[in-house]
Amino acid sequence: MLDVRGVSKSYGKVGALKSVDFAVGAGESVALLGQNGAGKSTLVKILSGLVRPDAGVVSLDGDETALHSGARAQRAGIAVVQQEVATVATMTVAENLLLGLRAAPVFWTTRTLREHAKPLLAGVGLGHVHPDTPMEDLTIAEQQLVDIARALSEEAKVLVLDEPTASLSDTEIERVLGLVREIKASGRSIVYVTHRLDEVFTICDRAVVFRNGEVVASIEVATASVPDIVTAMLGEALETYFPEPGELGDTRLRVVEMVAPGLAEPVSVALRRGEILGLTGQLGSGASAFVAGLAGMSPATSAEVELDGRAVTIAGRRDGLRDGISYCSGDRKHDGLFPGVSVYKNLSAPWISRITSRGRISRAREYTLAADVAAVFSIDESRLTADADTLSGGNQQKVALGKWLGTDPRVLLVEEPTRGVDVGARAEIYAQLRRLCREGLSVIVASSDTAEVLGLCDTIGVFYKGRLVETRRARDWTESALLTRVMHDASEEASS
Amino acid sequence: MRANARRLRQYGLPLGLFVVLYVGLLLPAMSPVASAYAILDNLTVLGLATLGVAFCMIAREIDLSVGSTVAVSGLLAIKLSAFGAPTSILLTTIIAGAYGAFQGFLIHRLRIDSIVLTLGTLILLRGVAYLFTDSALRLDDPADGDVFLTRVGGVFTVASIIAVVAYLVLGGVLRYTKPGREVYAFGGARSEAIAAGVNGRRVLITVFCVSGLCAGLAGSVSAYQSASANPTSYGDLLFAVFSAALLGGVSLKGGRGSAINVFLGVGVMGCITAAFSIRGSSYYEAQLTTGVILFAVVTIDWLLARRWASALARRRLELRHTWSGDSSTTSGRLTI
Amino acid sequence: MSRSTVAMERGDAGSADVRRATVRRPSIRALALPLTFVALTVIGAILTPGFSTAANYRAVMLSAATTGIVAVSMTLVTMSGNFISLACSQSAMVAALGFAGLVGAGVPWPIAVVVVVIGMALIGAFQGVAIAMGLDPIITTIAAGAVMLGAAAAVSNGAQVTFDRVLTPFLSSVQPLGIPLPIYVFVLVSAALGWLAHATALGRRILLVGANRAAAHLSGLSAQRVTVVVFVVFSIGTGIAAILAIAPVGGGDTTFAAPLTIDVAAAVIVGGTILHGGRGSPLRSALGAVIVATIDNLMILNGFSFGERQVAKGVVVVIVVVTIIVLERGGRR
Repeated sequence: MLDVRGVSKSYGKVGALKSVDFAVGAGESVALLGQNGAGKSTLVKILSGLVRPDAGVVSLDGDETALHSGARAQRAGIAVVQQEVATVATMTVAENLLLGLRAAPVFWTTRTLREHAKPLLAGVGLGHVHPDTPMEDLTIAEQQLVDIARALSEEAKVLVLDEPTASLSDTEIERVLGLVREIKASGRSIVYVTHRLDEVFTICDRAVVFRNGEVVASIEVATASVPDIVTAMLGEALETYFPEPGELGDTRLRVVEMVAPGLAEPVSVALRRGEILGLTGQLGSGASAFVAGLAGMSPATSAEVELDGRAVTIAGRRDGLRDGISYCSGDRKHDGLFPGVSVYKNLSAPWISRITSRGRISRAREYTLAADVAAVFSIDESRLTADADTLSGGNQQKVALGKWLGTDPRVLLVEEPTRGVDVGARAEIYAQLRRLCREGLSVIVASSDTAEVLGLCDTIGVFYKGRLVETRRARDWTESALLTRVMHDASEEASS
Repeated sequence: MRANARRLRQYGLPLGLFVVLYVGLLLPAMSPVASAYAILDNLTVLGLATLGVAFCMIAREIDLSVGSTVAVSGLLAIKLSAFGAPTSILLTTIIAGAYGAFQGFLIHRLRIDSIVLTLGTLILLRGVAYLFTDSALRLDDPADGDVFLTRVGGVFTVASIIAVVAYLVLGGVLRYTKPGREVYAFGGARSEAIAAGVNGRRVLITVFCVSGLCAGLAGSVSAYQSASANPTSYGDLLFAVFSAALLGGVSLKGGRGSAINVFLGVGVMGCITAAFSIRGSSYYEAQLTTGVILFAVVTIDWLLARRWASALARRRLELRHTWSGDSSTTSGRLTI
Repeated sequence: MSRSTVAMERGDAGSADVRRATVRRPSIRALALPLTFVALTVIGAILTPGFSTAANYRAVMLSAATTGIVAVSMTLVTMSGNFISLACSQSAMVAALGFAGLVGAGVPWPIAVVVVVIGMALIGAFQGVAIAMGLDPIITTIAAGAVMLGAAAAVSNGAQVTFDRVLTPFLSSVQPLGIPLPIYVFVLVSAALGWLAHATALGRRILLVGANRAAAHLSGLSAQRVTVVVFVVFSIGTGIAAILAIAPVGGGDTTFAAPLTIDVAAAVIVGGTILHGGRGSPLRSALGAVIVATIDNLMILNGFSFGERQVAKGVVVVIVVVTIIVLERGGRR
């Protein structure tokens, strides 16, 4: 049915997909697996027509198809349910179903909307939902189902689902999986991107494993086991660019029973001087929710926080700054970088008061301090006066991280420290984080990259569906054990 | 139910305001027929211009050049009056609509902020108006415009009937057609709408075209009504348009508002203007009142929004963490 | 962890060294504006008789002064990410009529100046607080403009507010070195706010809040405080400009300074300040005001009509805006 041959795509120097081949038969459901950045999302974007491949062919039913736009892909018969919910909260369910559909009628009276919507809703098991219901009154799972219903209404031959269950609860997941089974039974093909192994075993016939932009394995699920798949995903041994761990000191931070949005139950952690604590898990597992809560970003958090033996309250970001808790979010474009502002001014943003006397900024002091930070992270000094957003991703991340050094933090909270960062810059970031720890800093890293937390951290905690399920010293983890834990809850073993 | 609360806020507030002002301010001063006439009369210029700008606002865009567009359209209609009133008005409206569509195209093409571009065209079009004439243009035969002043059924004029028809048509488009609903989706949740397949270029061209059409119709009809057009006119129309739209419940944040909201807002403005003019008070006092009411309404709206804000923030935060996977950075772990 | 993390390993770099490093090699964008101005002046001097005279230069500067002072103050608002105030004209009008009324009522002019400045600061603070609370800057300034216009009209009954210019000798007629007072103030205000924007911590906070509010929040910078401050500064600047504008005239009514908002917006845009905030310079807005005035002056001398001049102004604004966008796109992917 769907045949992908020799598809390649690179962004700049980085090859995101390297001559990928894979095929999906009619009525077959294929899982795309791989760690973050393995190339799955690029492939999904190519299939949805959002990204053009540099080379290669996509054929449907033997016909070569040029997927130049979302509309072309739709017409060709590929329907994609994106990871982000693509529904408009303030509009009704029926309107959302018809939004952006080529086949939709021009006139949308309440009656035509209902007539169009009802069969579509029934098709995804939402027959009980009234088409006039505002989208925002639905649960996230129901919204996800509406999204799928819209994709199905396009007479799709191939349905691509990109992590459709990442934000759903177990019963909700069951509904989605049930629907996927039905779609499969109707003879349509399914490409299923996921991080959850149990789902692969429940609904997929075959698992195609990606690593570094290449397809490394195509595994028949019926005859495979969890370790088979994990081994395929991991590939060769760990890289050696991670720094040597250092000595750990006394307890620096103790968090008891923190409640934050995105956590299913209260979470407690302890952090020692010089320690790097890695929190990992899938998207939405709660690792970054915990860190953001600790940074004072969430509106409602209750926790006992003790810093160097002293109880502190973290009601907002300013409290955190005062107590020496720095926070670098995972989305540097959103809140890490000042675009259009030169690099050294970016670096000095959190410590303006330190270089100010009687209201005046001392440029010389600012520049010297900024240059020192830049030197620590080996940011080219000649780029200090360039606009921050003209730097490469790696250097941007170094700037977003490095600006906190000038505040003399005691605890550094970092989400996804190396997202969108090239290898060289990664090694530097790891090395410097470790060096800072040797000098007494403590770091909490929230990362969905298991190799990263395993190589970098002293202690690793795994989040699964909003709970901190297991914490061990890093040397007590193996990567396959860690990956298995992240993707797969042992307590669910029986059900899969 | 979140949706019901939202609906109440969107229609209840402006409706209440309108009723209070109508009963409290206007009815004591004039008869029901006269007051209805006064309010409907307001529909021609302010009403049409606001309707057009409301399209842009619902799409989360802004057209600041509306006053200049109306002024130029008035002058253009008089220049074209040799073709007869219907042709002249139709031509002017089409030209203004085409100009608006071009503006929308530019905004999409250059990915420029509409507020910035229309600030430029606001200045530019005002200059164009002066290119027509330095003083004023008059109809050769002032009687040509009389037809638009003719009262119909006591409360209407031909001009206000044209406006009402435009309201029904455009309001219907907004409410009951696919292009109309796409405007809401585009304004209310842009990235989601685009992910769902809404064509952003078409929406931008549509809303700015409608804004141009409305301004063209408003300018040309009103030029015929007064049998003249002046390059200096409508300098303060923008304030009235914004006030009407906001008082009526159209949101600058996009995705909220309808032709009914616009009508209510224009009605509120009509009440204030008519009440003050019948009392012989100055135009400025009406402005003062409008400004104060606008402040009050915006503040109330803001307070109402804040009541839900914490709940909403929590929800959004959950979403952010749920979806914190950044699918746009693909250069991640590729080269390990 | 102490400062040692950012250890001054390299010692204190010589400040000359630092200065050399911090001075950016001027980019095309930075030079475009001064070059445009120079080109305009040269072309004007060659092609237009009567342009290149001291009297005419003085006239250009004088006509740029009022707009310029307001544009320079407005730039801080724009840089901080609060768009532009759409109540420029009304603010200036209220300040001017307030001053005229006070002087006309016999208040000595220095006291009148102080009263007006304080009053304007309060008006600015009110808008700033409303916007800092979360109201939209566009709505807030539009509504404030309507209230000011209405209030001024109510107080003045729509009539002319006049005073005897003899009462304000310093403001109305003193011309040190043959140059009118507004030009001095224009230069002074530009220098002061230019310094504030570039050399002070406040200016830096304004820039950072405008560039990325969320990142500024994470860095512990308060967008609210910055918003209030920029609106107060803007209001005071407008008040000063208005006093200087009405002093030589001796009075005005509610139509006083009516085209100011548009002229100021044009000056800020031509100066290259990005309307979304985070980039811009008061000094360049000053230059923007002078350029707009120069173009206007050249066109007047060459006998162009008001309409043609207005079209030219609009075209220049649109061209500048589009050029900036195109250059931006070229500069970053």
